[in-house]
Amino acid sequence: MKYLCFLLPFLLIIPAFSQNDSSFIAKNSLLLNISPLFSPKHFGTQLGIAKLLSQKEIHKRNKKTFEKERWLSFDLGFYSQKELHNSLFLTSSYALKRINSHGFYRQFRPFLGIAQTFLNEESYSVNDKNEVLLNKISGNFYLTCGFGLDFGRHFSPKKSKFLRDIHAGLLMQTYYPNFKFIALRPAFQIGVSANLLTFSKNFKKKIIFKK
Amino acid sequence: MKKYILLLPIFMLFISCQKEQISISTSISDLFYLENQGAKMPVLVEGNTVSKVILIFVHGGPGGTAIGFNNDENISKIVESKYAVAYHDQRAAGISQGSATSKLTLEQYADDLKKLILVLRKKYGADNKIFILSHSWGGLIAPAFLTEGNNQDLVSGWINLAGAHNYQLNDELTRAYLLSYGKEQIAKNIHVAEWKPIVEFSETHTPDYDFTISSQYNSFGSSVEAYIDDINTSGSGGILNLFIKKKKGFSTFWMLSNSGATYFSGLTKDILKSNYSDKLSLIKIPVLNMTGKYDFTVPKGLAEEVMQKIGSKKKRLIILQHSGHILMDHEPAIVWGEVVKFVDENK
Repeated sequence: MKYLCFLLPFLLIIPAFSQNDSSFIAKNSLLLNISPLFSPKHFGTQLGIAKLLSQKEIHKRNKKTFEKERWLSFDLGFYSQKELHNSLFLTSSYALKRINSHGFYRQFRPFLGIAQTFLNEESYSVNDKNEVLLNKISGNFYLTCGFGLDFGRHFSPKKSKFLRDIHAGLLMQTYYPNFKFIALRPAFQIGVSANLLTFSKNFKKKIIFKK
Repeated sequence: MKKYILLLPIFMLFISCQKEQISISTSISDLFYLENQGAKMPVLVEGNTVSKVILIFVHGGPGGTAIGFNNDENISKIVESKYAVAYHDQRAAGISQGSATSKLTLEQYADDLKKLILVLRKKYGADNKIFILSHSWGGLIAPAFLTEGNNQDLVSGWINLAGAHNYQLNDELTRAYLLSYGKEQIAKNIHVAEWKPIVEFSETHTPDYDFTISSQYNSFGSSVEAYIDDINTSGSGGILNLFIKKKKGFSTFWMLSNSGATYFSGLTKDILKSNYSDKLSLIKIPVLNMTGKYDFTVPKGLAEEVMQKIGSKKKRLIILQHSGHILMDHEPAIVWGEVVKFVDENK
């Protein structure tokens, strides 16, 4: 009883935030992402496939205000930084995207994966007999994680059947272990997403009406 | 599509395959990596390899960078026009890359230096004369290398710029210098507010292989240089060079990551007991010591001890009158002029 009395004020507040939700089966998308990566010292590209996990439309006063989407993607990328290394990486990311009513969006995209680097300069080692050897291939294997912060323009399927969005942002990639610590690799990213496939299986789009 | 994805790793391997390039010229700029015990360390050789003289820059830190910090226009103009300089970024420094198994110990750094000499001799010719040019923490690696086995046979001389061959003595001297100079400045009413807490700390804290105290003295050592007008600060720009100038073989983010790796490795704690005072007598090669009059980070008393205890017959000490710890930046013309003179005499 004591607990119910305590909860009562909260229960009274809830109607103030009341919302009408409705869900319906919507068309899901599988997107193909191509994003060149660059910084003053390196360039590269990331290629990936993204699947829409959930979609929510938020309506206020019978008008759509913004949309929230969750995407799961798998990306294969590479970059070359002169004098440092070339890197090949495979990552999976979970993107949180918020699209406003004009189609502009911001996205936070944490990711996790693996990377293999290759030195792109001559590399020498010395064996136990003090003989100097030129290494043919040299590099390190790393776990990689980080996040992307993107801003972009979303195109609705009605307006554009193939092109889904264009975006630009920052990609902060870290490598572990670099001498038992992490190494930072920031880069800028610009990219496009194209509609690879549209299907309607097991997907619910949620529409939330706020007063 | 699948075919192209499979081709990507092959493409990466192709563009990463190495071919040996050997440059003998009066003005070279070669970048290569030394791979040793889990670490891949960049080496930038610049200058005149026709001279058959190579100076290896063993940088300070630990966790600093020779390629990013020490490779400036003064050394290029005065030294590289005559001799070659190999800027070696140590493990967990500059753009070096390493695995989790790579060790960060003083012995390992000394072993890396030996391997680098062997690579330079192989790449540019065994008839090259090698000189060690060490600064600060590099002055601890140098005696660790020179007092090991027959390593001295590989080099023709040691240029010791503000070298820290004995960590505990370093902290004791820093404390003593801060106390005496600080009290003098307070009496003269110069920067009293800044000197007072430093003197108070020094009066109450005796260095005793304690990392926190040692770090505090190190921090005071560099910060007090800002209160001394007699230090010439019109050098090449110092640490700002790292962020402003685009340099070959250098990445600011990678260097900062490596500084973190060094800090968290525990190396700075492990070297607190490093002491080569008693082994200095084993060093017989020619030595040039240079230090700044106002160096509180690695005070001139250390160079004076090297002069006293070293076994070399050819030895010289120069105390620069308008320099702090980064003497190459404070009085570059004198430092590099003396380096060239020393190499001329001993090559």
